[in-house]
Amino acid sequence: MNGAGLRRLGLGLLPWIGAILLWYAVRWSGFVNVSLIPAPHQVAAKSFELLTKEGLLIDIFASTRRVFLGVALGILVAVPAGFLLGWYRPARTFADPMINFFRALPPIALIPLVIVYFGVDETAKLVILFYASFFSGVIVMYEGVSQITPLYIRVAQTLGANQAEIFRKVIIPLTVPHILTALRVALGVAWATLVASELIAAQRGLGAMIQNASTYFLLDVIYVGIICIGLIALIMDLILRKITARLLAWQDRAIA
Amino acid sequence: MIGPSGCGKTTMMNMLAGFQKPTTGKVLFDGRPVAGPGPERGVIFQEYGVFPWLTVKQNIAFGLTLNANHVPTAERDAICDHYLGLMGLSDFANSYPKHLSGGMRQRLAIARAYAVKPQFLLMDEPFGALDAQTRSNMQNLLLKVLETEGKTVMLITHSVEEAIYLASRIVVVTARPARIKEIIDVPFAYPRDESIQERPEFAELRSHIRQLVMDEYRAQQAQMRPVSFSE
Repeated sequence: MNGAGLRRLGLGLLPWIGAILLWYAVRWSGFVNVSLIPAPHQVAAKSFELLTKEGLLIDIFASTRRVFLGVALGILVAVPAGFLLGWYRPARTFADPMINFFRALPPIALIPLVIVYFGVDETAKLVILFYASFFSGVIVMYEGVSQITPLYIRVAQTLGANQAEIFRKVIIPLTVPHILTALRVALGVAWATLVASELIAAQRGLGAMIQNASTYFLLDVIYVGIICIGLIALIMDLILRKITARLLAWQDRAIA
Repeated sequence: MIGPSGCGKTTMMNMLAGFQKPTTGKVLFDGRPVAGPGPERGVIFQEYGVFPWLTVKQNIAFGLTLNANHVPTAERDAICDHYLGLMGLSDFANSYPKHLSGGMRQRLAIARAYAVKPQFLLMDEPFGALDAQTRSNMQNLLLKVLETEGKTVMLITHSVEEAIYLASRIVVVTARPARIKEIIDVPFAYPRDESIQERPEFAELRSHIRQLVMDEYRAQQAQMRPVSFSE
C-alpha cells in the first residue's frame, strides 16, 4: 500500500476511533446510568460470545439472505418498470401518483396486512423487503431514465442504427448507471427495513435477535445486532461501489 | 448557411437530417425523398454528441459495427486508424471522452461521422461552443478534411468570417418566415489558408454579407413583441 492509500485508510478509520472514544466518554461522564450503556469492550466480548456459542453467523446469514433476495426481486421488477415509466411520458403521468402514494407508506404500517395475506413465514418477510426495494428502486430508475438526453439517440440514428441497435448500444449503456444507483438505494432501504420485516415472528436474523434481546433487556446484544446490520450494509455498499467504479469508468464523476 | 438566430436554420437541418418532416414541400436527396435519418447523411451537432461510455476509437468504430454499414474487423481498424491520425487523436485512441477537450470532442464527432462514408454532411454550428483559438484551428482542420475526403458539407454558422473562409457557396437566409435571400459564390480557390482573410475581396464580401445578415437580424427583432408583465 502506498502513502496515499495509507492516508485514506487512516482518514476512513479516524471517525470510527472517534465514535468509540465518544462512546467511552459518554459512559464515564456520569450523565448516563452506566448500566444503560455497555462499554465497547463488553459489546466486543458479547459479540464473540454470540459468534461462538449462539450462532450469530446464522442470524447474519438469515438476514443477509433476506435482504439479498428482497433486493434482487425488487430490482428485477423495478428496472423494467422504472425504465418504461421513464421512457414513455404517458406511462409516467398515469403511474406517478400511484407510485408516490405507495412509496410514502412505511413498510412497518403494512405488516398487519402482510400477515393477513401472506402468513408469518419467510414469504411475508420477503414481501416487506421486496416492497421497500421495489419502490425505492423504481423511483431512481425512472428519474434517471427520463433524464437520458435524446442527443445520443439522434447521433446513433444518423450513423445508421436501427431500433434494436439503438436499444442495445445506446440505451442500455446509458441505463446501467441508474440500475446501479437503484441497487444501492434499494440495498440501503432494505437494510433499514430489515428489523421491521423480522417483527413478523422471525426465529433467526439480526432484527429478530434485537427484538428478542429487547424483551429481556439485553442491551449488549442489541448493540451487537445494530453494529452487525450497519457493518454488513457498509460492506455491501463498498462492494457495490467498487463494481460501479469499474463498470462506469467512463463517467465524469469519480465514484470510488 | 447563415441567417439571424431563430429564423429556422436548425429546423431546416433537422428536415435534411430526417428528424423532422416538412409541413409542406419535400426534401429530396439524390431525387429520393428523405424518410428519416440515415448514414448517407452525416450530422455533426454543436453539442458534439460523442458517446461518453465508449473510448475514442470505439466511438469512431460505432457506425461501422452497425448492420447498415458493417465492415470486416480489419477494415474497421484501418478506417479508425486513418481518422485517428487525420484528426490528431491517435494518442487518445483508448481514452474516454471525459479526458478530451471541447475541440477534441468535436474532432472525434467529425471522425465518427466520416467513418461511415456519408455522401453528405450536415454541421449545425459545429464550432459554436469552442473558444476563438480552437475554433480557428478547427476551421483549418475542416478545410484539410474537405480536401482529403472531398464530401459535400452543409454548415450552419453565425460567423460571417467562418462562412467565407470555409464555404464555396453561402446561402443567406431571411428572418421568419425563412426564405433564401441571396446565394453568394465565394471566389477563393481551395486549398485555402488564413492569408485569404487579409485579402480586400474577403473584406468586401464580409461587409456585404454582414449588411444582409444585420438587415435580417433587425427584421427579426422587429417581429418580436415586447414582453409585458401585465398580461
